[in-house]
Formats: sequence, structure tokens, C-alpha cells
Amino acid sequence: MRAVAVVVQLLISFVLVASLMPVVLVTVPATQNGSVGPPVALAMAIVAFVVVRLVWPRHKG
Amino acid sequence: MHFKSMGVAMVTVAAVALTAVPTALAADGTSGRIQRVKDPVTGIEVSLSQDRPGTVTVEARDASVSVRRELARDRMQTIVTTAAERVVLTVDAAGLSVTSGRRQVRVSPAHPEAGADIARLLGTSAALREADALLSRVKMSAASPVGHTLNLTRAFLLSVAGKGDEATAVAQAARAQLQTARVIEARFGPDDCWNEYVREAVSAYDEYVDCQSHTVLDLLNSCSIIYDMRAIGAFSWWVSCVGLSGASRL
Repeated sequence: MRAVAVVVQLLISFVLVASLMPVVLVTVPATQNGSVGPPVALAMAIVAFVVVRLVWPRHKG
Repeated sequence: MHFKSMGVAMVTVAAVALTAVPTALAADGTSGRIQRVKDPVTGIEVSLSQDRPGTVTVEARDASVSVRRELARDRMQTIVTTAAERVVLTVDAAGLSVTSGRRQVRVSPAHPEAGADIARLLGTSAALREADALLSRVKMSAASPVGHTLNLTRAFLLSVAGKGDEATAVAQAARAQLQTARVIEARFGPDDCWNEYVREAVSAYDEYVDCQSHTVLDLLNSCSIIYDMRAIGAFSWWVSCVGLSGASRL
């Protein structure tokens, strides 16, 4: 069950980054560079995943 | 005949020198790098090595004969070695020097007549015949620097042995191979993936902005849906494009 939750969290992070990335590319043109953009995308994915995990509802045991 | 052979030899030497200089220059600072290929069918071993900075050595050998060519800034040496004979041909600023056994002949631009002695000395050399047979069996493309060097080495050896026509034929075949159009697999690297992705992502964003400005009442939120589909699709494509090899560059 926990593994399924992590997969869903990863998918949500992926969708968030995918949706935000075009905006970032347009507003920060430096990220269009091949050496800058991919690390930014990766950093955004990590941040998104952390945020999703933090706001993920938890069962109170 | 002999003068024609020597002419071919000089042309060959010039061609090799032209290919050797950039190789030697590029090789500076990478001393000790060795590449070695052995053909399992013929048993011929071809190696490229750099014993000293600025000197590149190309060698082809099998069980009976070895042909070694050393390319340096100031000279080019070709050494043919068999069990019974060792022939050393050195080309430097002074001219061409040939040593076979105890005999040594030198030909210089000022005294080209000694070329006939060289052709006489090497014309009957069994080592050179074996070297020619060895190099003719090497199946490396003339388009590769090592293959090209070996082809020109063969043409050089034939020409100094007085076989000018054969030398010309080898040199022409090598040149024809170089001029033949080749199909090379196109590579699509991670940077290309990113550039394609950026193009699509920016296009998706521009379309979204355009859609928003032209739609008065977007009850179905169609602009956002189309934008999300394009953005997610483009991002997924980029992830699959870079794959595992590209992931290491992130």
C-alpha cells in the first residue's frame, strides 16, 4: 500500500513539473540551455515530490 | 622507371607527412595511449601507440612479419622486420635513408640518382614482399587514420622497391575509398532531446496564451486541458528520449 502511494506521489510530481516547466522555460530563458534546463527540471521534480509527500494525508494510528 | 618510382615515393611521403602532422600534434599530452585490434581471421594485429609525446606509432604484424611506422615531427621511420631481415626506411629533412642488413643507402633531393640503388636494394627484399602481403590483407577502411596510414605505408614500400605502378594503384584505391560516400548513423544526443523539448514546450505555452486571449468564455477550460496534454506529452517524450544514458548527465 505504501509503495502504491509513493508511485502515485511520483506521478503527481511528474505531472506538476511537466505542467510548470513550459512556464519556467518562457519566464527564465536561461533554462532553455541544455546544460541548465535539465538540472532545473530535476530539482523541480525533487522539490515537487517532497512537497507532495509532506501534504500527503496520513492515517492516524 | 626508377625515377618514376622515386617520384611516387616522394608523393606518398608528402601525403603521409600531411596526415601525420595533425595526428602528432593532436597526440601531444596524451602519451602512452594504446589502441590494439587483432583480426581473428587473418591473425593480423594492428596497434596504434604513443611511446613519446609527439610521436605516433602504427604497427601491423602477424607471426612472420612486422611493419612499424613511427611518425614524429622531424622524421618518419618505417621498419620492416622478419626473422631473417630488418629493413629501416627513414625520411627526414635530409632525404630518404634505407638500411637493410649491413647496407645503407641515402638519397637526398640534391642527389636523387641514389634512388636507383634503393630500388635495386629493396627490389629483391623478401621482407618487403612479406610486408606488402601483410598490408594487403589488412581489412581496415582507408577512411580511418590507421587504415589510411597503413595503405600509404604499403604504397610507400612498393614505390621504394621500384614497383611504381602497383604503388600508384594502391594510393589511388586508398584515395577512392576516402572519396566514397559513406552512410553514418545519425546520433541524437541528450542536448538534441532537450532542444526539441524546449521547442515543443514553448510552443505549447504560446498556444495557451494565444488561446486564453482569444477565448471569451472558456467553460470547459479547453485551453488549459490542451496545454496540459501538450506539456505532459512533451515532458514524457523528453524523459524517454534522454533515457538512461542521458539521465547520468542531469
